[in-house]
Amino acid sequence: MATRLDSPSDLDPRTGLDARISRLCVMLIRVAVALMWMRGALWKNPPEFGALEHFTRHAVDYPVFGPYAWLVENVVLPNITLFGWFTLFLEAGLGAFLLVGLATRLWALIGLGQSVAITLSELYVPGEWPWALFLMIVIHIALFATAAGRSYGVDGALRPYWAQSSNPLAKVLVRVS
Amino acid sequence: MTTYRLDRAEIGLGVGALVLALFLMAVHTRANALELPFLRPALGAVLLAVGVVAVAGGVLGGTVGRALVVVAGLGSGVTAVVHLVLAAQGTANQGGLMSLFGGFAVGLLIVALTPRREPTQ
Repeated sequence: MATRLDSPSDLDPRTGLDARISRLCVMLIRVAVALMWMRGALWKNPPEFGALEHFTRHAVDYPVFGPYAWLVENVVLPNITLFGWFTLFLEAGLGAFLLVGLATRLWALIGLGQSVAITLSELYVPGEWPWALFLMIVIHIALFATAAGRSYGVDGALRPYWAQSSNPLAKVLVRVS
Repeated sequence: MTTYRLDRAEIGLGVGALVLALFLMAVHTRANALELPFLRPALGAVLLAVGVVAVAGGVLGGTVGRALVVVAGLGSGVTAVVHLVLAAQGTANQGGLMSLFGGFAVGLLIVALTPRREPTQ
């Protein structure tokens, strides 16, 4: 018995109902991850970055990976103001670009790297729920795999224009979207 | 599907700004379990204005419409810069708001400033 969902237009992988639902879900996931990073940027407060220093020090106090703990103790913490500003812009950038879905694959990789760095600091902290850290990592893999900005994002709207442009920046944007 | 595609993107960004403005103004309670950046009424009004102007620009289309979207994007960008300056001066909790307004600024401006021509795919 044919149902509304069995009609050819609904089954079209590009425009069908299933495809639209999938793209909507991907967009919602991308926006939720963006809001997560905005929340993270909220408490990175210059110039002392006291809270950030506290959590970064966990990499030394509860080491997960020796070389990373050494790097944090000897390079990052002595220069916490510089790294604090870097982290603030990084997480604000993650929130901003994932929100609108621009250069999303690039920012998904950046988010993946930042999630790994956070995991290397927090994984062995007493009371920490490790699956929260693992989920942060896999959600960014999912954003990369789905090219989430193409789902109701700026990447999706502009890729056809970038693909036809001879501008070097446009060619880069095709790659990172 | 020529400039219509970009006009829809502008409308989509504007609607997104409106939805987020209302949502982020509403979520602030004593126990904000979502821990989201909270938009006070003044900032919420700014984001609502960005959304309204962007939607209007997308609906109007053409040169006037694109100009409106540029205005919305610049307004959002200025707000983001204000939060950056406040953060540099030591005011707490500016990063999330800088990110929120910066995102809409970048999105609206890149769509509005993309040259309108027919894509062949």
